[in-house]
Amino acid sequence: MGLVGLALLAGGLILPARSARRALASRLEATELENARAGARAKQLESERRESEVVLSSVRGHLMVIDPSYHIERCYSNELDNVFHQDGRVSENLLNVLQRILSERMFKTSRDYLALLFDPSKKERTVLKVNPLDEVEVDVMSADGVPSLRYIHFSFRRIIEAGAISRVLVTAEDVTERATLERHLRDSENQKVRQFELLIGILHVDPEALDGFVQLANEQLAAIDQALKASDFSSATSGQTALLRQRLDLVLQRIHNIKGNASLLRLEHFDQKANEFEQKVCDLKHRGALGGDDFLMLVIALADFRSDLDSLQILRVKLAGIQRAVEIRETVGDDLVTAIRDLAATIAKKLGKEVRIDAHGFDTRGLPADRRLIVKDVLIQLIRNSLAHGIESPDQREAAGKPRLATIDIHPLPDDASDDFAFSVRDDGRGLDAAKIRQRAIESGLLAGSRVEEVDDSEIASFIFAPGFTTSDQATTDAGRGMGMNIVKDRIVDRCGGEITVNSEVGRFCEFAFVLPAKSATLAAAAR
Amino acid sequence: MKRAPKRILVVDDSDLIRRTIRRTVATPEDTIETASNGVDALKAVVHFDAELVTMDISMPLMDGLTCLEGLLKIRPNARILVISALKDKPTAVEAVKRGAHGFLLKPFSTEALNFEISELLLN
Repeated sequence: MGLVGLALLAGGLILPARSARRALASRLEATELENARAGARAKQLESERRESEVVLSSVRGHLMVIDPSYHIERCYSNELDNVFHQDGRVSENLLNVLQRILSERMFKTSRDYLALLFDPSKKERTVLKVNPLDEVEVDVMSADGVPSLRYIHFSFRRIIEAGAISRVLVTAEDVTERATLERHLRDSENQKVRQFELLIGILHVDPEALDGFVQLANEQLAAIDQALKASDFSSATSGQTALLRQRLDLVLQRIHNIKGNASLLRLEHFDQKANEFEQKVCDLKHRGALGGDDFLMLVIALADFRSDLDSLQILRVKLAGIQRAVEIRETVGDDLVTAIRDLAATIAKKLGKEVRIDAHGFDTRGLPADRRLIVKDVLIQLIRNSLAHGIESPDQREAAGKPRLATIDIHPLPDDASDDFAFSVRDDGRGLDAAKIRQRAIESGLLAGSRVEEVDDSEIASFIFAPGFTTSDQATTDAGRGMGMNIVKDRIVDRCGGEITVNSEVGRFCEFAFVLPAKSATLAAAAR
Repeated sequence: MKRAPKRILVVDDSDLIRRTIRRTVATPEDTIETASNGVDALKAVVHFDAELVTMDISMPLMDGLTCLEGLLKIRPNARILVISALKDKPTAVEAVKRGAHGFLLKPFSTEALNFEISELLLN
């Protein structure tokens, strides 16, 4: 624009020269020469102008140069015209533009910031780092008068002339697309967090009950939707207030029903959500006058509730998939046996031993949950003991003429005449070392030295169930603290009134057999 | 590239950040003092002629902007690097306006911190 102005000025110089032709004939030649030069200059300027237009049209956004009083000297733009041009005029000062698009606090900060840009005592690097205008939200009115929210990125560069900051180059770029994407990303992150919290909140609920809740809530929400849409609330007059209140009562009933069901299932999120919704409706009900805007709030809350319910439904479907997978695994076998196998493999590896678990026909799935837990505790303990004390290293086993791979055999001891659960656990290790047990029993005071010759091997075996008894010299996580067999006795005998028998042959095997009464320990004790 | 020994004051309410800055910035020849809030920082510079100060802008007891001004009043020649996790842009602009010589956004890498420090000591 400035360049075009300059070209016209050059052309205009010839007019006074022509009017004075007669008197200044001698200067004609010189004037014409000047004219020709000016024409050439104009042509050159015109081509430069075209060139810079080509360059500038490829610039996305807005390029400005501002002077120390923030006056916009030059302005090139192919975008954002409606931000910088008020009523088709170019804004003369950047401060005016900023005042129009910024909040008061941000405007004050920006004014300070422009001062810093022109302050030679502040380093440009530091100043550029604290740019407060790197993402500004602006309401932009399009040509057809539709407002839209845009994000504008301002950046600044000092122009140094003769060692001083003469001007600042300002670029303004529409970054709405990028900013919107970033916000979407953040929203979806938040959505994920919320879904996870929802998931935690529904894990305890029976899937069928959850289905029931989703169905009921959907029906009630549809009814609420109907009640809120049924009439045109924006035309509501005072005469219709009674009708509006009636509708609110309907909404209240429905939401209260959802709330009741949510709290029954301990779906805390939905309980709370319904409660908030209920509160909103109550507030409206007790207000003097009602208008269309009041209901808008409810419509928004309704949409929010529905979105959560949709999330719940999605989670419910995913959860059903997981539960099915778990059920399929269970039909393959007793997961307790799988867990025991894993445990044995882990401990064996740690101790440098080799073992296989033979649990053919052993199944605890028919047991009540509390009995299953006891069996689990007992098996864990016996597996640890076998691997720590009974089972030898592969080399030792080979030397003793045994297979390198040891076997722990877990099998049921069925009895048609009884509901009691009986089973045995047998390893083919070195068996109980009676001499060592005897010695430790004396050392720990369980056995008086005078009685040593009296006790037989079956009494010796009972010492291993005493608290703190161990034949190990060192305690590890797998054995040695001497509490393991005491726990076994506590579970089977003390809690359930069951029985334990021990059978062992030195160098060949050690076998424990258990009977777990179907009746509880207290009943068994009372019956005695 | 060895620089001359400096007297450095590290102001931050986080012990971890103080340690990190100390480990990253200081050479064995430097003299280092630390403060965990603005009041202690001002007390420190009364007897300690700090040449370089790194400080958090959001700290307990005294806001960072006030502390910044106080520090410069007592030690006008100190170079101050503001290190902050602040998302609040007006406060950042205000810090530079009141005399901060450098600005570094938390979380920062040790490279970024070293670069800022060398920039600060350059002029």
